[in-house]
Amino acid sequence: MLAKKLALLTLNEALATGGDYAELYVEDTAREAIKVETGHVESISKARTRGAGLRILKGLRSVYGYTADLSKRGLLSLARKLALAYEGERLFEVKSFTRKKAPSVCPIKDPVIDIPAETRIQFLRAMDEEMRKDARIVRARSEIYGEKKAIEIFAAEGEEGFLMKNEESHARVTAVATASEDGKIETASNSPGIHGGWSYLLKKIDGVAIARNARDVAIALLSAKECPSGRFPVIIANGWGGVIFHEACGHSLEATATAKGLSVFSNSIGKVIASPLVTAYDDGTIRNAWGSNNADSEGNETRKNQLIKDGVCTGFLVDKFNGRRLHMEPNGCSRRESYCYEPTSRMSNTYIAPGKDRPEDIIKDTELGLYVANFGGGSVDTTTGEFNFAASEAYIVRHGKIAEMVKGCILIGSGKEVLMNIDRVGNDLDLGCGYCGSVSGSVPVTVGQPTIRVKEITVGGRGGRLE
Amino acid sequence: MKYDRFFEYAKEAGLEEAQLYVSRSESFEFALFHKELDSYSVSTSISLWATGVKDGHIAFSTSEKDDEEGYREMVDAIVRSTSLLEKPDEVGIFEGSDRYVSKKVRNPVLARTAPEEKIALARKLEELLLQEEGVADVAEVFYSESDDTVLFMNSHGLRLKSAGNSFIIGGYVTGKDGEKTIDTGDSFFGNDLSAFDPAELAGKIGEDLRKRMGASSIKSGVYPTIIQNKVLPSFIRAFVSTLSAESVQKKTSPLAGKLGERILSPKITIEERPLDRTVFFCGFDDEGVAKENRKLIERGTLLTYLHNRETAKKDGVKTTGNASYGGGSIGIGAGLIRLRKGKGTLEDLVAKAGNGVYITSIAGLGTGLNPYNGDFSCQAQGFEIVNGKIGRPLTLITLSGNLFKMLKDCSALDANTVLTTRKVECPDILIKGMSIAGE
Repeated sequence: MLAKKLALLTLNEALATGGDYAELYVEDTAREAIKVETGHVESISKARTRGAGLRILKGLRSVYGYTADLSKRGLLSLARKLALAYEGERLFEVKSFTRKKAPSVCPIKDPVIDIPAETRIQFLRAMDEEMRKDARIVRARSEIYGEKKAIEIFAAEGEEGFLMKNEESHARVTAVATASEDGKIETASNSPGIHGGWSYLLKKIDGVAIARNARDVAIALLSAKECPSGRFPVIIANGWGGVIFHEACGHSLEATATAKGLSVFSNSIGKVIASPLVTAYDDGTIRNAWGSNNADSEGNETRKNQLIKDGVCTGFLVDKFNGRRLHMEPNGCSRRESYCYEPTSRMSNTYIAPGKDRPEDIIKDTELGLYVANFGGGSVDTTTGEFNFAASEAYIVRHGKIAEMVKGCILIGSGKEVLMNIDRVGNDLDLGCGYCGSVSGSVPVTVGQPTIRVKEITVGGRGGRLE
Repeated sequence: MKYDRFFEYAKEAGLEEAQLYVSRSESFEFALFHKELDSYSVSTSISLWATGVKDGHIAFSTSEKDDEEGYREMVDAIVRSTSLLEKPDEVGIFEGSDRYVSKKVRNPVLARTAPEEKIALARKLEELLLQEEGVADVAEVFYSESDDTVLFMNSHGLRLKSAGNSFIIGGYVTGKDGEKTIDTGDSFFGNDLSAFDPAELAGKIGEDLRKRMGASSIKSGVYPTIIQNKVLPSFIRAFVSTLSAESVQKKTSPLAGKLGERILSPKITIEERPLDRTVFFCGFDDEGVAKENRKLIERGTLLTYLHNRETAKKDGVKTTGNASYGGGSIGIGAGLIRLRKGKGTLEDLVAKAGNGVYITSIAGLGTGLNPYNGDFSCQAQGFEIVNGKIGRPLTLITLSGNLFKMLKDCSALDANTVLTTRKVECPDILIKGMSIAGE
């Protein structure tokens, strides 16, 4: 995409005032989303993003800028503006780039965006028909999103820099069903994704099945009661249920939060931060998983990083800049949404490792509580560790059995407390897909866990006391 | 003019009508951590949104390639899309309104002020925050500024332009509350740096931190609840989105068939005021329709839905100028929203509440609110109200309810309004009873 000579000029211009590291991230992305809505092709939107982000580090300072102007004038102007933020003499001149090769964690032969639109529309029509099999579905939306991203990273902290090229191709299928009856309106959605091509998508994602699930949940919600409130045991299902670990713990283990001593888990390595039943990983190397990648946004190979072992904190997710403050090496987890964001430590595929309990035993051993089958999402304050998650599908557990469905539930608490209060861990690890929004933008992440039980969580809802 | 090439390609490719919306933005941001510049960023971005009509279909394409190759790609994508779309185009490209309101809201002084002066202002804020009693650390002081220009052109010869700039400056601090760390922050925004008083902001942040010391939960129950003017905008925005005529027509808004009905408390009047002289001034929508100030809710009665040209045609009414690009098509969006203020002060409202809860912060409403029926549950912080006075601080509680019922149950508003970055200006409001979960 970008001539090496121009990259060299840009980095050297950027380093003119004493920067000790410079990195140019060049991106060219094509995106396409096709939407079928309640019987017809509603929209086909195509977008092209192309630009470059330039970062210069000097000790514990960082300057960043981006531009969509990839001409020599545009890039050198950006480099000069950024270099002005520092005062000092040049430390070195970059002479050349060595090519760095990343392993093929996410091989892609047939990017979804290159598949004829008619084929994708056919896939969506089957989903649309499945959702509209019940007359109470008043609006059905099926969407397939694909993107193809070409990336070049030129970086140097000495005369010999490196160039890493990477290609990404994410695809996501979404089914949204809106049901209406007697003036009530409820909606449910399902959105699995992959970092792979069309043939892999067909193998992994059953469009009709996710449409059916969205339809059935939306209809069930029409007769669901309001969720009770108070503090009681909560069983969280496997798969997307792992968002609780992602929010309650994962974000607080990112160097973005820990490096400045502002995270609830700063200085926690070697300390007990969770129940001994908890072992957790962030693994960017799961083949073709939604949150995986061949390389991170700094040009490092992605890795499987252990975060917690038997309740003891064993590591953080570390990027280059925050690693300087922590005196730790980066571990392949620096990510960004696009060239418009400075990269930083982010989760990829984060999960609690499987335990020994059978999920049915966890339910059987719970007299009264809540079973959360699915979440809408949540957020966390990494300084205090306080989090919130909204449940999108939940049931009361009564006398060891899953009973009536409830709606309007939110779980809140402190990450530290919840991790210590996990008292059962199932053997049914599964992963779920979503987007995570943070300082470096919105990135695809997988969250995961087996079925777990937390002894007690504060649950919000309008249904009065749990009885 | 360089964009003439786009319209030439569009014509060559057989597009019957075409439109181009060009948004340019220059931004400058930095953050301080422990008196050092922790991050510093400058950027230039450009986005092009193209629209075209062919064979009875309308399609869209976006790009950041502001050159002939980029224009060609967008036109080709539109041609391909129109051949596959099944939804017929109802309205085509707009020819233009009779009159447009134009106001110079961009402040050239802000753009001219040197970065060093802005950094000095942030350093002053950090210094003042550190002097505040109870502050253990300043987690961050940040500054962000953007300077935006929009060009709107179509094949009917309509040419529109708008420009605006703004900045936001703020800080986050932490404090020790026994074994626990607590945090808070606040910010100031506008486009006049001289209106920013670092001492005032530092004082507010420090006071808020001290008030939060010793926070605990509260017994679950239904309480008279005051929603602070800085928190309410999230709810008001969510409510305004249900006024979208597109949602109403697609049967996903509970407000279908409610025009002219009293749907909220008679104390509530909501207006859209895009033409007011604020940093949110906007003279035209994304279809090029002139914006107007208008009442949406008057004394609780629903006066209008928000329309673009397509939804207006379906309903047989005039567009309200609320077209907004999103998700690859023209949807509906709203500009500055004002909730009309009531009378008296926050203290008066607290006295009216008697015994209840005052909510000063929420989290998780984005995922905790069902936009289709208004049900919500979210994390909250605030204070207990005891015998008409603000009492102990509350944390780790949840606030649950239904958006429409909440605004129907509003029993009073004070005159204490604030304009927030969510493009909403509103006072504090008192709700008769809301579900709070805690202990």
